[in-house]
Amino acid sequence: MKGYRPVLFIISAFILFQCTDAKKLKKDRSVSHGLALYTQLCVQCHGEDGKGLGTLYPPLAGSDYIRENPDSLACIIKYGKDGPLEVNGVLYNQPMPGNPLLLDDEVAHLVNYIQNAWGNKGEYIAIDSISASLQNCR
Amino acid sequence: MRHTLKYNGLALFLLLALVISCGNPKKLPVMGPKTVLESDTLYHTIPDFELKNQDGQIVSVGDMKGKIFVTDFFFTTCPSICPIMKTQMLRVNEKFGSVQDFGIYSISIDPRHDTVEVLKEYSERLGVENESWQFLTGDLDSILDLAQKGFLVSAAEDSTAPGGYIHSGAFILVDKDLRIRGYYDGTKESKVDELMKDIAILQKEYEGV
Repeated sequence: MKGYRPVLFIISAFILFQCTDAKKLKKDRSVSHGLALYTQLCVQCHGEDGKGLGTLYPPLAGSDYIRENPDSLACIIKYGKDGPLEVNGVLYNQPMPGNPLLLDDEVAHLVNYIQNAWGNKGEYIAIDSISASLQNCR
Repeated sequence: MRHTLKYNGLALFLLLALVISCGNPKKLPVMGPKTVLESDTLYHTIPDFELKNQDGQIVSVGDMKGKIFVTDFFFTTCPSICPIMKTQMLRVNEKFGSVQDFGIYSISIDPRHDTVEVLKEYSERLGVENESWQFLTGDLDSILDLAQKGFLVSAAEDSTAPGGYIHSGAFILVDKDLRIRGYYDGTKESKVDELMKDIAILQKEYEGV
C-alpha cells in the first residue's frame, strides 16, 4: 500500500496540471497568434516594446486606458479611432486606422496578446465575448 | 621547413592585405546619372527648390549645401512604414543631431494636410528638440518632382495605397556638395546602422583623412 502513494500523488498532480494546462494552453495559443498579427499590423506605430512613439502614438504597455476600457480595445482594433484619446495622463490625437477585414477570432488574439504582453496582465478573453463587444461598437 | 615557409607567406599576405585595407578607407559611391566631359565627371546633384519648415521658414537647397544630410519622404497620417522610419530617424538624430554641418530633412508628400502647423505639432510630439532635424512642406507637385528627379526615389499619389500615397522608405544620404552617396532602408534597424557608419565615413572624407 505504501508503494502506491507516490504513484497516486503523481497521477492526481498530473490530472490537476492537465486541467489548468488546457486553459493556459488556450490563452497561450491565442497570445502567440496575437503576436503574429501584432507584428504585422500594430508594431509600426506602437513598437515591439508596446511603448508607442513620443506623444504621437500611445503606449499599450501599462496603459490605463486599456485596463479601464477592455471593451473598447476590440472596437478600436477593428474600426480605428479618430480624435483625442487620453492615456496615462497624456492626450494623444493621431488617427488610428481600422482593420475592418479582421475576423472576430483575430481581434480576440490581438486583445489577448496586448493584454498579456510587456508586463500587462489580463484574463483570457474568449472569441464569443469579443464578438459581443464588437456588436456594441459605436 | 616547407610548412613554415608556407605559413610565412600566408602571414605576409594577410599583413599586406591589412595594410592596404587600412590605407584605403571605404569610399562611398556617388549615386545617380553622371555626365563625363573631356576632363571631368559631372555627378547628379540635388536641384534647387523652395519649401517651408515646421517654423514657417523658407528652406532651399542653399541651406543644405555644405551639410552632410539625410532626407526621407513621409506624411504625418501615414499608417504603414512612416512611424517605423521615424523611430529609426530618431536614432540617427540622437547620434548626429548635435554635430556641426549635419542635417535631417523629412519632407511631407501630403502637404495639403501637413501644413506648417501640423508639422510643428508632429515634430514636438515626436520629441525632436534640436534644430538640425527639419520637417518640410510646400507645393505637392514640386515635392513629388523633387522626390523623383532630385532624390531619385518614388513618391506618388495612389488612392489604393494605405493613406493615399505610395513612397519609398529610403533614407537618402547626401554630401556637402549635394551629391547622393547612399540609399538605406529606413524601416530596417541594420540598414540604419549602415547609414550611421557611412555618415562617419563621409565626415572623414571631408576632413581629408
